[in-house]
Amino acid sequence: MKIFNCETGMKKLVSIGGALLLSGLMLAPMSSLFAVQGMGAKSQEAFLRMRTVTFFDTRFSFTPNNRVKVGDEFTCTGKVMLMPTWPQEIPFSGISFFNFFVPGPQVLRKAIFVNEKYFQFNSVVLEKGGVYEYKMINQARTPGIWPVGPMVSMEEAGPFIGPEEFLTIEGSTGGFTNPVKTLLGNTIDLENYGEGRMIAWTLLTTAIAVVWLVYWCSKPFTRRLGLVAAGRKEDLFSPMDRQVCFLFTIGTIVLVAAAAMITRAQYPITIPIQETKYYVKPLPPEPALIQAEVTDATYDVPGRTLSFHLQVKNIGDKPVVLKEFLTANVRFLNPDVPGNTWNENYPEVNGGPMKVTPSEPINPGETKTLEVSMQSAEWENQRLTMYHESTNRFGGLLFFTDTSGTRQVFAIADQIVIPKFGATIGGGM
Amino acid sequence: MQQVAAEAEARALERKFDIVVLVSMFLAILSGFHIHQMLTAGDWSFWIDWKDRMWWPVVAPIMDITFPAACQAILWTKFKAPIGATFSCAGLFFGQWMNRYWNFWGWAHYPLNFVFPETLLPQAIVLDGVLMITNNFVVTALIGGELWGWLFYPSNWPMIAPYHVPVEYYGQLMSVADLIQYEYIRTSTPEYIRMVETGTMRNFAGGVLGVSAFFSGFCSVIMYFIWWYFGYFFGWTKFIKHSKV
Amino acid sequence: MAQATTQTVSISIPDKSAFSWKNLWIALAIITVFEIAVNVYERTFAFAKGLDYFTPDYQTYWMSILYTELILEPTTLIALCSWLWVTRDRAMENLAPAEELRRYWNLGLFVVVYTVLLYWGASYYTEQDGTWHQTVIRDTDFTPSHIIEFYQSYPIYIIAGVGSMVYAMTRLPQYAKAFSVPYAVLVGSPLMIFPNVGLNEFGHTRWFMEELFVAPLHWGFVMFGWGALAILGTWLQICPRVVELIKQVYYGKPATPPAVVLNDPEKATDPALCEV
Repeated sequence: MKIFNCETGMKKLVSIGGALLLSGLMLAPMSSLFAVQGMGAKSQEAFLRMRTVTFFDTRFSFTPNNRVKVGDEFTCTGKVMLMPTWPQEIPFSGISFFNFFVPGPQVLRKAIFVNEKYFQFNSVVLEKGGVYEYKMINQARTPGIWPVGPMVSMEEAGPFIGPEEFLTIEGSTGGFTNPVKTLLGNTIDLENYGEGRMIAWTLLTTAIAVVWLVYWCSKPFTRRLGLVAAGRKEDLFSPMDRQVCFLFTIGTIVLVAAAAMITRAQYPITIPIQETKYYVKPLPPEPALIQAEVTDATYDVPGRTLSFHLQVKNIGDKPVVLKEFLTANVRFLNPDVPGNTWNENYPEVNGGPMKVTPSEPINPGETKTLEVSMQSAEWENQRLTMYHESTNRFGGLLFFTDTSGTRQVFAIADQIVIPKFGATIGGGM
Repeated sequence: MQQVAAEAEARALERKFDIVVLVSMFLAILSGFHIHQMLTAGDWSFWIDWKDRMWWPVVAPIMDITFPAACQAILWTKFKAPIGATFSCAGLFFGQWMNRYWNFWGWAHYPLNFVFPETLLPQAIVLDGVLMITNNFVVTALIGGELWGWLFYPSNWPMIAPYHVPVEYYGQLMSVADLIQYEYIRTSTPEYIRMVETGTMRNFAGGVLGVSAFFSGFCSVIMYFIWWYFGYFFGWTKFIKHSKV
Repeated sequence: MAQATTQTVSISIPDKSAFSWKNLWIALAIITVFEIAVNVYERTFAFAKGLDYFTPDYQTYWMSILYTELILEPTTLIALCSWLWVTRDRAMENLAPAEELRRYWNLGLFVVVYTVLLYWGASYYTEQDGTWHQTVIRDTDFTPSHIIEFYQSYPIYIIAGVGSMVYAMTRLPQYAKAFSVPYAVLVGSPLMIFPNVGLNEFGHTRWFMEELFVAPLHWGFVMFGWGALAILGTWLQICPRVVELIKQVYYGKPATPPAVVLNDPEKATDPALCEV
């Protein structure tokens, strides 16, 4: 009878498959090992990114060089607005956490302040329509190039992601410490506090378990099936086996009790995990310069142009201009406003110019209908064209300023936009 | 002489099969137990700031007595080997440490004091010992199951006590565990997702842990019974003819 | 004439090389080198190229791996099972005891390889997925950790498990004409973890935006993982037959003929046969 050496055959197949995969891996280009990509916000639907939490006035203290050393602190500041009309499709629980995106603790979060004075530790309860200011203080920890940025996480809804920057952290982690003073008066290093103790107890309890297992598994194992079936108890256990069993059982209980009591004596003052939620009031509303309403909106697909009519009434006492539209971390600046140019410190995406017709300021008491038009490849690059989605309503923030520099942020929360798939429309409707 | 040589080879081969059986059992049980544990009690195991007084000492023992009970059902009744609980828990511990060390720490750079797993080994040895001493799975369920629940927190307190030292940080009271989770950023696991004790349980005379341990012990007893019979199912030596499938 | 239920034959002792660990060491070495390479690749390219699905680099460094896997894995499984089937033993009733014992040894090593790969898939890479998803933002079903965990490590253990079962069914009388319930559960239940990925991805896309590992969405994986306990029943079936054959080959004791085992495999699972 032929003896089939299937084991070798199986191994050959696995070897070939594995070799193919490995060679595929090795042929992959190894250059730009540290050229890091973004945070993955683009996978979220356009309507979610445009109509829920909008980040504005975002600044990172390390721009424009984007370089820090291990141990350096840096800040990220800005504001968020929770849209006053929240999409029905996205759950709104209000329970939120001002968060920071970084792939792992490559930077440490040292502090987050909300509305200047409030230090956020536990999660906060936010309101629809509220504007909140944040200041995040972080510390660089691990060398590399990392995408970083602010975010707000909301329970049930998920992450809302702000603008990102790529931060280069130079240096080495050797010698990095994270000292903290406890209420008991001692200073500890969070990088390795309690680690030696944890490892020692782990090794001790594991060693006892391993000895127990080795003791039993060193006896012939399979034949015990036969001994049990035959009822040969005397061949299954020796008197020493029973003694070992009692020793390990009682001894383990005594060891655990003793270790717990010793630990209690070593750490007489302890507190439980601290968990609560805080209600944070939004910032007071900005002075109202205008009243506005979007009357209609279209998106020209081939021309990649979002256009809308905006009826604006100036209810202030100074002329007002429309400076900017911001949505989903993309900014469109009105070039007709003097000095309104892109700054390299802006972490957002530059969507390009926003054309406003008529471009003259709106005088006090005047009501005008503005035609706002933004032609930009970023509608597609950032995946903000909505006609692929089940809801075709856009949102964003309009920034009006008057001649004294006072600003009003006006939210477009929930505006239907009709796509036009026909010929290119040049600059307006 | 030939007979002696043949017997020696037979013993050696029997021993080789023993190793094959034990190694494959260890790895298979480890795999099943680990995927079960990580998706039912895993978050508490991953992070030091989830190791509270209410959820952790309740969920972990109840979910983790499952595979020990099932393994004991076969390894004790068929092999009279008092290793079912220790065997499965040692495998679980190995699987957990491999990930915490190589991935949480080695890849993502979380410090080990943030991500170390709890140990089940002391209570597993006790569960095995109780079964061997009593030779009765009902008594083991009642006594061993209760002990399983009660021993969990004291078995781990030597490791987690340092992380409950209080700290004042920017005017807030935190435990060291809270501060570690605050600083060492977990992007997709924001603070509100922690399933930890919220508000001191309306306890009597302050015994939060005692209440949790008692509840945990009770549920562990029930789980032991259920999973003992699951063990019987997984030890079933049934064949079904091809024609009947 | 009644069919003989035991068989006494004079058998020459097989060579020790028939029960060598060598094939296992080779398999383990290949697996270890492969898994180390996978881990090195992850550490080099996951944070660097794998955070944003919509970049060209993601397609180059990660989706290409996925497409390679989706081609290589089913091909390997089909090739392995076909080859095992084509080279099956067509006259098992005449199987010599020494040869049957040698095949049980092969099966044992095959099962060890399966459980090693099961460890990598169900234990190592599955908890590693938690490391990834609780650390970065999920932006696709095909995250780097998923490409390795769901679409590489799970299919690889499925190939080994199914392969081992087809080996048993094509070469051992105990498995030739009847399905072993514990063995089917041992292979089939972890196998079902892979289709359960469909539920997981739908849930993460539609229902559940948080990265809670213990969310009920994941409990399908839990349930299918329980099947790994069937290793206990599998060995309870195999051990009595193995010990019976060892006694026959090395001690000249009578044993159940393969023709009987073919038709009544449960007869060979009596633990009393293990009495030495």
